Amino acid sequence: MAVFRNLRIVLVPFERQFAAPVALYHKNVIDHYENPRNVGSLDKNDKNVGTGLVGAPACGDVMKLQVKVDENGKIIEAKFKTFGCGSAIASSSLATEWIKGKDIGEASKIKNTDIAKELSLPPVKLHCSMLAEDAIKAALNDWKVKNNKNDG
Amino acid sequence: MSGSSALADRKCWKCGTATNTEQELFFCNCGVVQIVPSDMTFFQVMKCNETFNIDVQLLSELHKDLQRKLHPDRYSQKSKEERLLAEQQSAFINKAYNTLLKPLSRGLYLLELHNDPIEESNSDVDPEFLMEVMEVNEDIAEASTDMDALLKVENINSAKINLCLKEISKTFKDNDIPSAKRHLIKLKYFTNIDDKLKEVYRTMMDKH
Repeated sequence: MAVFRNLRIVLVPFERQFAAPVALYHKNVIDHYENPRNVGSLDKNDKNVGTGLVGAPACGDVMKLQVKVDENGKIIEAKFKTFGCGSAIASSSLATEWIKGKDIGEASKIKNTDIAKELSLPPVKLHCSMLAEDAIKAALNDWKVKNNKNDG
Repeated sequence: MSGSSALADRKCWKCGTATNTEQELFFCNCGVVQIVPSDMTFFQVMKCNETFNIDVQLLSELHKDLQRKLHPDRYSQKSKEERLLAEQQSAFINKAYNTLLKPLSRGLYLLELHNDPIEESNSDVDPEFLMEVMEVNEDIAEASTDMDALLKVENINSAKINLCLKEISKTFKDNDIPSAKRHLIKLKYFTNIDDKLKEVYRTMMDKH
């Protein structure tokens, strides 16, 4: 429930932006924003969990994306926590949805342009989708580093 | 409307005489309001040294004084050109004032003047620091409406802001722009946390 309380906190500035005709959000963003998928955390000390933590200093956004990978290299779980604007939350929510069920090779091919297109992000919000791509890459990389170490 | 718009080598668009950049920044001695110089910085227009530490009280006084002199009411009987110029001057001064007033926007503006702004594509943040920001945000979410817990977060965050401001001031003084930038990034995150806390307080007040 803590997650939802937190969302209510960020909802206020979002509504304010939303009310301004210049910063209209696409319905896909609003859907992911109002009903974010896969919010939460996985145990970062678990060997099968990869954690990506990235930030966008220009906005002061922070995004954590985690994946749980099975022995076949398939992503069986994905969670995120993002503190930032609506587009950053929507981008990370969509990212977790897309990578769930994919193997790590496929997941690493997801591009920020795909996320931006799906959410119809305006040019000023493109960096939010870049952040999500960075977060996926960082999470997968963390998993790889962890497992190579543990294997050897 | 003719007349040079760069700060050096300015001439009054009306009477054609060269204007002094100090005394005639806004008005020519002939009494006519001047064009905003295209290359004028916010520091120049507000008569501040180009440094991080400025006298905010002086800034506010100058802003008030200038806005009075450039108030639209004073130009209702003047020509259309003068009215327009006064509006432009007034808008520029407001922008300068608002940018210089808050340390965060002032610091970011200084980075711009040093040709090293924080770009949107920039993602170079210390991971340990990001973890700290994440945890503070989680603490706020966890605290929910527990005022004591929220105030505790706020106090710690305020202390971090003060420390950060000292670092920014020092690094700008030493002309160490990369370090100033690193600390300004932190200030941006701390400021966001502060904004979020205020938002939480507002939501709590609305419910009562």
